[in-house]
Amino acid sequence: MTTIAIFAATAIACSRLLPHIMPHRSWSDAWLDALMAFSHPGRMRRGRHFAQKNLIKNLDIRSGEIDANVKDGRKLFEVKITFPPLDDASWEIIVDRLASQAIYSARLLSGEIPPEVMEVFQESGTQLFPSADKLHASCTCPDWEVPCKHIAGVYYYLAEQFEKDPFLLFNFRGRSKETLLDALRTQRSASHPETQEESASFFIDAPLEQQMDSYWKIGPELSEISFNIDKPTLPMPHFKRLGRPHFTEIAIYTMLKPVYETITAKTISWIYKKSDNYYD
Amino acid sequence: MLAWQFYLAIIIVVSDSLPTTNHLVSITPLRTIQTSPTEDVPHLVLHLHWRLVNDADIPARFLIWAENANAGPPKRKRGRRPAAPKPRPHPFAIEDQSLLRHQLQRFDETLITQGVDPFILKLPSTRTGPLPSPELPQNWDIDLRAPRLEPWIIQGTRAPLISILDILRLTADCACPDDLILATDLLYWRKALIFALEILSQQHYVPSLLQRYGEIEARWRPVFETPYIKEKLYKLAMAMPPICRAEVGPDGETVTALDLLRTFIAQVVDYLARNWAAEAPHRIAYLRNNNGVADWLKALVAPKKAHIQPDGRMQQLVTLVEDWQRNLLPAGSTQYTIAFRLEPPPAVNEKIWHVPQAGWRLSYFLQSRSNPEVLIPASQVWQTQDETIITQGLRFDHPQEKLLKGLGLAANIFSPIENNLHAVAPVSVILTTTEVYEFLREAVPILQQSGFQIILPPWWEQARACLGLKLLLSPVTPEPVDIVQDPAAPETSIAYQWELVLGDTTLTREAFKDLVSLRSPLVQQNGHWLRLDPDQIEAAQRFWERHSFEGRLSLLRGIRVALSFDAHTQISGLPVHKMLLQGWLPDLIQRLSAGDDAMKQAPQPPNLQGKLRPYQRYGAVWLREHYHRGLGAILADDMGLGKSVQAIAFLLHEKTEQGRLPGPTLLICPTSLLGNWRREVQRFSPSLTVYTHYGPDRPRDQAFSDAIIGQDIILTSYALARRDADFLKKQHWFGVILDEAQMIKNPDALVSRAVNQFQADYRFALTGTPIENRLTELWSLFNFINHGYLGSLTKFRKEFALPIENNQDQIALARLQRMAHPFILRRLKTDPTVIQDLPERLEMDVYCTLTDEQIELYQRVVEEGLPRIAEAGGNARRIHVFNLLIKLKQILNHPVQYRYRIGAHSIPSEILAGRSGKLDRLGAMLEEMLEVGDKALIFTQFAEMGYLLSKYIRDVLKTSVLYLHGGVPGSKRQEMVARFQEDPHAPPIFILTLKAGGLGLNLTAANHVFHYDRWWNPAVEKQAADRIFRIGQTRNVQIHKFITAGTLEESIQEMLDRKQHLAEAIIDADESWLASLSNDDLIELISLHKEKL
Repeated sequence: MTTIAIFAATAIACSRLLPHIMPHRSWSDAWLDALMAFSHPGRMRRGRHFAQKNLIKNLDIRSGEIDANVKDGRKLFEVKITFPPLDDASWEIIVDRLASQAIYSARLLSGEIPPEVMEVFQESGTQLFPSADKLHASCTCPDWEVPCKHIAGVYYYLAEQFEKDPFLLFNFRGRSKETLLDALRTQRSASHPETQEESASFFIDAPLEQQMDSYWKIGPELSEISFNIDKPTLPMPHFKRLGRPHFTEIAIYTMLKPVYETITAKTISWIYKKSDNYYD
Repeated sequence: MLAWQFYLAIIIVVSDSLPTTNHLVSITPLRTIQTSPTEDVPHLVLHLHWRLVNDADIPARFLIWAENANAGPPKRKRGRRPAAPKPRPHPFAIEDQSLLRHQLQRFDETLITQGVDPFILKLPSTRTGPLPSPELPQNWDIDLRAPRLEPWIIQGTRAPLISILDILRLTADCACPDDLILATDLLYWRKALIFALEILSQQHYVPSLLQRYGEIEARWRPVFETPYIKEKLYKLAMAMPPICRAEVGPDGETVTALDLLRTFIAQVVDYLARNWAAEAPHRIAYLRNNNGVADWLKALVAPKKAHIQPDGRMQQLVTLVEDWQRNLLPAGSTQYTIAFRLEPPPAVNEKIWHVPQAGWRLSYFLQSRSNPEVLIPASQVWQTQDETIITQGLRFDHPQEKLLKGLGLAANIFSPIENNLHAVAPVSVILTTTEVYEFLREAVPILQQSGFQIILPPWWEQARACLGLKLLLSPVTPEPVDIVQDPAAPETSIAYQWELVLGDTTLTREAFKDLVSLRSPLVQQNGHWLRLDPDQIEAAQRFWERHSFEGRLSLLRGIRVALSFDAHTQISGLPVHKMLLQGWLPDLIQRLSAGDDAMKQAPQPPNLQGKLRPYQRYGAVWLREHYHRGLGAILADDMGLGKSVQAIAFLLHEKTEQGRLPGPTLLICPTSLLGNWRREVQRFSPSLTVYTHYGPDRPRDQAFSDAIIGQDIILTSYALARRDADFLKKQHWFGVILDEAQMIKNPDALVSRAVNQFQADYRFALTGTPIENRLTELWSLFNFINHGYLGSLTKFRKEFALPIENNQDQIALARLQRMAHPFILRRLKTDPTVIQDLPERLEMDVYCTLTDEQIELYQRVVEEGLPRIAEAGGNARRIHVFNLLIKLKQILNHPVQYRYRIGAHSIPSEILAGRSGKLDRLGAMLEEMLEVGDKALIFTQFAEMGYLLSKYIRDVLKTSVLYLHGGVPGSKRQEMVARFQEDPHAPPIFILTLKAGGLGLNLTAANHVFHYDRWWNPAVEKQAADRIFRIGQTRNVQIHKFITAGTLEESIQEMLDRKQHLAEAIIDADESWLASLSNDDLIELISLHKEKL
């Protein structure tokens, strides 16, 4: 579980910066735990390197169905996983419960699925993760055992993908991100498309024909603004707003910190650098 | 020379009787001024075009092009103008790429151009083709009627982006070559570059990954969504000159200003960021390439490789990155935003500092954008059954969703909000004092950048609710010191004392220790909350260790400290909360800045000949006040308001009061003004003795010291001040006065260094243009009058010049204005109080000095001519007299006029500057006049001189002119007059020959008249000047009559003055009376009077 371990370490490192990351059970843990419950551990392990070495290609996740190709040496095998999606009634219950706590709506509306959502499924008795009786996996390789190493590889690969984007798991279980958010919206209020926002409609250029008198003039608005070329009072402000991305174990913030610092320093020295060509 | 306008400059205007002082400094755009002429080189207006068209095959890039003033006037097209003209080649855009490249290489020697892209611009056009930009100096005969937009094909030169950015950057503070003028489009993109640099330095950009045209690119993306960035972006887009969006794309469409600006900034930010990122000590290269993220980051820090192979995992990463960055959109909607209000626990009125631990409440609201006073509490949002809340006529659509989404975002930024979200309908969260401090310090700025409104208790914003310093400045003496009574006093006259304060309380070392031991970032005292930032505590500890708490300052440094501090000042990490000026110090600063009643009602100096106007009396005592305090001063009144007479009145006053002056005053002025100065002193104050240090036979060293004994004023030129600095600096001068002090605007120039060495009790600078192009010129003046007052040049550039000129930094500007104010007195003709003191019509004789070339020619012509006249008689004598007079007049006008045959098509390509005293003087006066936006008529009797003048004005002053002479047909004359009168973009200078322009024209747009040469008939001159006195003239008018000292021009002037009452009787309408003078009278009249030169 090296990936997970790295993730945990970075999560702790970032926790001061990004207070919302809590040591919660992750999506990939939960997914693999569910599969381990009915798969032979030895067989599972044999598939791990396919995921680590990026040998899974053409992954396609649809409602109730996952297709992928696995490259094994020179051969390419097709893996298919099916698991019946949740029915509409179950989804309704889920959406109901998600709407009952502000945090879920808040998080989902801002494009995230917090791991706590797993508990909502548990509490409502619906099954988010696969179980032995309904999950079917097949592979075109000669190994007739399930899971073969290729199927196991796809399982591991899916674990990574679900961690990066839990909405993919919801997709597999029958609800795309859009439908889920729509349903949530319907639940909170009667469905209404969001108004077109932030259109730049109030900013319209005057026709050039009407501006021939001031064709070469800078407008008076310039005097209303001033520029501030200086160190930021708050370094990398937007990273603090965005939080840590869930799709990678690489600590992007830490990686880019020296880059941002250098760019700021270079900007300031570049503009204040006296020119060598002094003409008078 | 700077051939561009920058939009901020300080012009300090102080009017003695205006009641308020803080509005007296105004900001005006400055004109182009140049002083070192190089002529007969192409005159180019350099344009920069940001090319962005709706076509995927044409990449967005910069193209350079230039208008060429030497391309010759465009041809007039006859016949019907087609309704939809086809694009034609631009007639005066430069085609010679090597010439353009040569020009550009002056900024960057290594610059290479990368070929040419033709593009089409829609330009205002008439029958004579596209109208030139206003910056192009040209005297073309252009049809201005019925302008409309027509397409023109321009060859745009491509160059590497870094070269273009370097050009934009260098024009920030290095001057542009003489013959190159920067167009407004270029200046505009310079401002856009500064904005991009702000985004870079303030880190308002994020790494992004985008897919376009089937390719995937890793780009640094500016976050325009940040509220304050967005506001600037929109303002800057609104200020975009239309020319920038005049390109017609292949589909006939133009691109919006906002798109142009956004793409420009995005490209610059990405380009500079990736280039600089490559130099950063990052470890991205070592990332294991196990997923797309490593490739993405590597592509971000690669200067030249933004593109990534678009495979499946990269495509997936595009979506993931997009999702991650969705939250860059600000919270709320266009109608309203989400607001947080922090409410402190009830105040406890205890005198000692204490720390209440809990009871803070952070409540959630919706806040209307159009009326921020309308707040809807979260409880109301949760209770509503509708999708829209309407209150006080304001709509709040989808309030629950927006609030929830906003809270979700905010929870990422400030974790206590998250804990609170497990409720069904959260309305507020209770915080501890530590959490509140964390909220205020760390979360608030991020929340604000995310578009949330934060309503804080008022004390948080109060600068003084934290640790800071207090400074006391107290004069040592009970009365202001006076260097006349106590020459050494100003050196130690102000005592200073620092204190550490928290709120209103001064802290002792023990009290500070107690405070720190509370270990709380927020403390309460007397019901007020105070902040204790850890870094400020650290700074305060350093303060105890290092700072010298008290000491003494010179008066000048005392004033500097008093005026340079403001709410933004930090002294080793601590803000200066309070500054107390005690004793007479505040009164003195006030008196230096704006005078007091006694100064404003200063009487006429008793011994002065002629009457001073009230503002001039004030100017004289203002100078006097500075002298007595041991301070220098800059008298910067508008041209024509009488700066020299104020300086003379000051000297005369001192002489009268002290019996005699303590020593001679060295007065340095341009050579062309030496004669003028001598005459002014003699006219206003015969009791002041004047000595002119000039000419090849001037005494040096000891002989000089002997020669100046008993003299009050030693006049000399800048050139000699530099050349003779060796012995001039050995004198101890009573004072040094620089006239036309802009001559020392370049701090590195030898002349500036020379004048700074002279020892003197006082130093004054007189100039009508304290700043022509750049703020460093102001520094140079201050370096002369009050050495050290504005700091070192490097420090000044960093603290003032660049922030103000580049960044339009209002705080730095205000600080500089405040500091400069007590030392600069500037009144404009247009000041209401000055206007009422001025006569409607102000006539001034302008005495000019001959150049060596002129002296030589003049003497030779006189020596050759006089014998011939003496020998001849009758009509032949008459003709000889006239020929001689004309030759002399030509020489006085300009040696080139005398030496060459000149016509419309035969203007000699000779250097004009520096060869005629009158022309140099005219140039200087025109510059000053143009600077304040005045317009002028110049009369000459010689059509040839008119051509030379227009060439000079165009080439040296880089200003367009109109020229009306006998050869201009009648209809054209009317057109020129109408243009001068009505067109706001018309050339500001109108040259007329006396014969062609003397009658019938109505030219009230001008408020200056220059008589470049004299028609020895006052009536003719008066008539000419009346052109601008016609009905419609609303301003005061100045008439400048040019007279070359020591020559026939002066002799005739004296004669006219003597015989004024007889003038009309004796002198006919022509100049034939001159021929009837006796030989002796004629010799007297025309010989060179060397003593007057």
